[in-house]
Amino acid sequence: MRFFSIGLLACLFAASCGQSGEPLLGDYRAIVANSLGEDISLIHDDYSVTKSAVSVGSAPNQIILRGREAIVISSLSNSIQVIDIETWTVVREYNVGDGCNPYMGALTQDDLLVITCNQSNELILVDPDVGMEAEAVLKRMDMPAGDEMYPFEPTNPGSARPQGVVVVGHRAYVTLANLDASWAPAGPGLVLVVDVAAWTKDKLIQLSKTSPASVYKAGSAGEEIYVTCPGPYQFDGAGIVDVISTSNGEVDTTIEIGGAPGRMWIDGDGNAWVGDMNGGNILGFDTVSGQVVDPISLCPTQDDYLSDLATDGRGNMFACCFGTDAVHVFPVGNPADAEVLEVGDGPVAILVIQR
Amino acid sequence: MLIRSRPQLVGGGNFIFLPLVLIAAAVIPSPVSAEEEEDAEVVEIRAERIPEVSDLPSSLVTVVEAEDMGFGMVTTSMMARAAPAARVREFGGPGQQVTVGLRGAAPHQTRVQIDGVPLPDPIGTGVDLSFLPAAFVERIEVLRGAASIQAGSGALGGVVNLITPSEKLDGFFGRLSAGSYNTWNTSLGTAFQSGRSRFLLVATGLNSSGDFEFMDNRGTQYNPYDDERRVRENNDVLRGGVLFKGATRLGQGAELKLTHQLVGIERGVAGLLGFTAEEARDTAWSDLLDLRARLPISDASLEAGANLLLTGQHFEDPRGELTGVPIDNRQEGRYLEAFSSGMLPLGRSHLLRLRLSYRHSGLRDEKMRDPDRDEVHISTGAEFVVLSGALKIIPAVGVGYVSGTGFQWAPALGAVAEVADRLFLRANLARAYRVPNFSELFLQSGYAVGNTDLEPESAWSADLGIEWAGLENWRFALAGFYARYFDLIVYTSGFRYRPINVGQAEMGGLELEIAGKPIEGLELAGHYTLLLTADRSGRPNREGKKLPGRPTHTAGLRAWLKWKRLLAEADLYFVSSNYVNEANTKELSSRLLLDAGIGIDAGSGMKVMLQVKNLLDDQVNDVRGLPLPGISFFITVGMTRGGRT
Repeated sequence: MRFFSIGLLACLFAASCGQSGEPLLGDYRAIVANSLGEDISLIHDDYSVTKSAVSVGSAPNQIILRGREAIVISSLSNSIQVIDIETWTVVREYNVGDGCNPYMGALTQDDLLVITCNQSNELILVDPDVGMEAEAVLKRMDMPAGDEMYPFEPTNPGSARPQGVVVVGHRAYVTLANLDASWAPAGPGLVLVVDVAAWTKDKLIQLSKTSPASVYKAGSAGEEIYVTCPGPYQFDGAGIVDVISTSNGEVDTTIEIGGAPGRMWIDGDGNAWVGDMNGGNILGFDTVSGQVVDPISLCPTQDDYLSDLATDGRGNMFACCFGTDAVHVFPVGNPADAEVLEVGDGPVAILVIQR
Repeated sequence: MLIRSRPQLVGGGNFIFLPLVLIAAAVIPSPVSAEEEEDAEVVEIRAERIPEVSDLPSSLVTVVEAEDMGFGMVTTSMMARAAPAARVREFGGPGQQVTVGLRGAAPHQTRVQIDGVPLPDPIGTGVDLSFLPAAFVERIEVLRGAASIQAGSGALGGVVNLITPSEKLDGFFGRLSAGSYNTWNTSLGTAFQSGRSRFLLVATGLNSSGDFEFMDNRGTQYNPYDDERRVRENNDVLRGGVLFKGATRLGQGAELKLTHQLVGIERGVAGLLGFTAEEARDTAWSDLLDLRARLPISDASLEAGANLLLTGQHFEDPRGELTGVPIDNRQEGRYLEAFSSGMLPLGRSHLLRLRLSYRHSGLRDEKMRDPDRDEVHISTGAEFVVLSGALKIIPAVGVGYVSGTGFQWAPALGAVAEVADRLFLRANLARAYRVPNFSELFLQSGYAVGNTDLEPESAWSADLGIEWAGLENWRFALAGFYARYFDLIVYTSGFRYRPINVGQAEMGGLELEIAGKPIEGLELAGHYTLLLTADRSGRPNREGKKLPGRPTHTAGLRAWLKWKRLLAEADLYFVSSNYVNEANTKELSSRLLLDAGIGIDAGSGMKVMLQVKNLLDDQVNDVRGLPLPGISFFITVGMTRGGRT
């Protein structure tokens, strides 16, 4: 269960804080969601860590910053928690539907949330402001099915298994893993383009490799989106990142990054950093030239993996090693000088505050 | 519940150990004398084991008798939880999955046997006790601590041995229970004698809709507004079974026994809350054929036998409600075991025992590529009585060879001392091992994959117990134990689920048992277990934390009364809160269950009992996401014609 941090939103949030002159996040440097601990850890400016700052739902997958609140998507409890980031208490909590298995989400232009339901094969639109007695899920959309999924074998179409989602303008881009009953690829990796305002499906984009994972946007107006494609488990080590132009909805470029690319982060210098789901490596490439950098080995133990990463705008990278419950903080490109911080059990997502 | 010590071993003479092929010759019928004809009258229909090598007289054993569980609706899991150190976990109401683990061991680290025949657990979820009808169980022997000298792989926490009925009845018996959730549970049996042979036939059936109400918080611990009272759907069960036993005297004290047990179950799979299913079904069956012969030769004893266990399971989730994709999985298992064991008295005081077994396990399952395995296990032990009989020292060792895994060893050293009149001290030190199961080795299912490089888990355990039966009609037993687990097989969580040998753990605690008859007609039995566990994996957030699913305190108190024609019983069971994850950040609340019943003995073998189960309506889950029923009501009518021979 992976997801990526919404660094750009944090950036926007930090900017709004600066305008008020009162940084809402105090001395926090990063917020970590722990999948197995089912809680949140806070990393302070001095790199001390507050563990179990707040308990969340089962198998939290993602944190999204939204004004004075952080939203946590908890996959196994089919729930989202809205957390006051000053008091670190859950102020609202919503069930998003039995069988949903909410995976990742993104904020829309209207400050609503679109969330992928990995198990029920839906995209849902959620209002995280309504009172808890009200229904928070405003709309539901079934993902493509059957022949729409370009099955390799027409008699055995796969399930969409939506995973990542990103919003650019009024459109949401949703990665569809397109898997069969044994979780093997049943067709090509796909990205579904959804008109969020009209709540209609616009287009299906075929990717260069099967089993896409996450999707990110780049450029000041989201001119491009990046889709990580590790391929089916067990990974072949030849993962790619597809670059899609949002202007024409086509795959422009394919970057052969290797490994099993999962969650990604694009820093202020235009470098893309990607966590390797097949080991503790950081993969990377230059978003301008497309040049791939050598993998950086980070997580120390076998069977560990690099679950999420982000930079802080001050030249530091924060990277989560899931199996060793650690966040490594180091100057970008130089993990030898890492500060290793112990966070909660199974860190799966990190939100680094941009200052 | 009775607290029993191990059988005392006496005698002298010659020891003979024969492989199975020679046993076949030994059991050929021979002419029967008139005296032997008379002996045939008392042939016992019971799978009573001769004392095995692993059954160290020093072992800490609790025996739970079915007849002591009262007359109402009884399940095998209720019997198992009447023993200290037994962690019984219920997954969902009548006929749904129930597992047992001993002394903090997980269910798949606890050996479950029926008449000594190990029940398979190929995918590591633990043996499902709900698959074993209570009508087929006369008593349960719970052997706590390392016991794999005999059992071979899989008894890190101990052995739960279910013993099939042995009542020497000439006649028939029947029992019918009915009650909440449209539950019907019936058993019918007959036992009779024909010539030198005795036979027992028991048939049983269970039906329940399992549609109890429960409170669903809908996965939102902070939001009370969406909590709702719901009905558990697709939680029904239909189970049937037949048990046949036959025993015959062959002359010269030799005895041949045959047991054939057939059980089938068809039930709904309701699923975890939040991921429930309306159409997922689980159909399973097992067919056990057990043939064994016992041959006393002078003062020595020899037993040999073979058993064949066939299993089948069909799990289907046609709409993919549980995991998002349709599932139609079939699995068939074939387990063949042959064994031979013997005891040789050494002089007047000492004893030597030896046991050899071969077991073949085969599984047909596409997700595991039809694996199979062969195991050979040899165990030997001795008993030395010293200090004029006041101290018995029992060294033993088991060596196993498992194809694909290699050799494993299980040494043990036990001691028993009678330190005062009817006051016994027992002590044990032993190593046990568990080879990886098929699922851990070979599973290929999406993100869950096996690991063929896995090594066996192992555990060293020690215990010291004191047992006192100095008061009339009362028994007390207190034991302390400690165990250290090594190379525990742990699934790496996160992006992929792959087992690796990274875990270590410590367990320790106290076990207390009291049983007695304070006044005529009233019997009491109680137990308490203090269980302390610690994760020793060294992983941050886990090191030193309690193991999930292990309550610190477990206690049970049972009382039953027979006064004239009045029957009354009460059963109180307590499980303290326990964590659901390794980081100990979330926990399940404690459970307190009270069952009570009242009935009459109408005479002529007929009894009627009214029962209220879960009188306190405690619906705390035993496993997160799987609700359990609240208060429920049952009536049981039973009749017995005939009596013990």
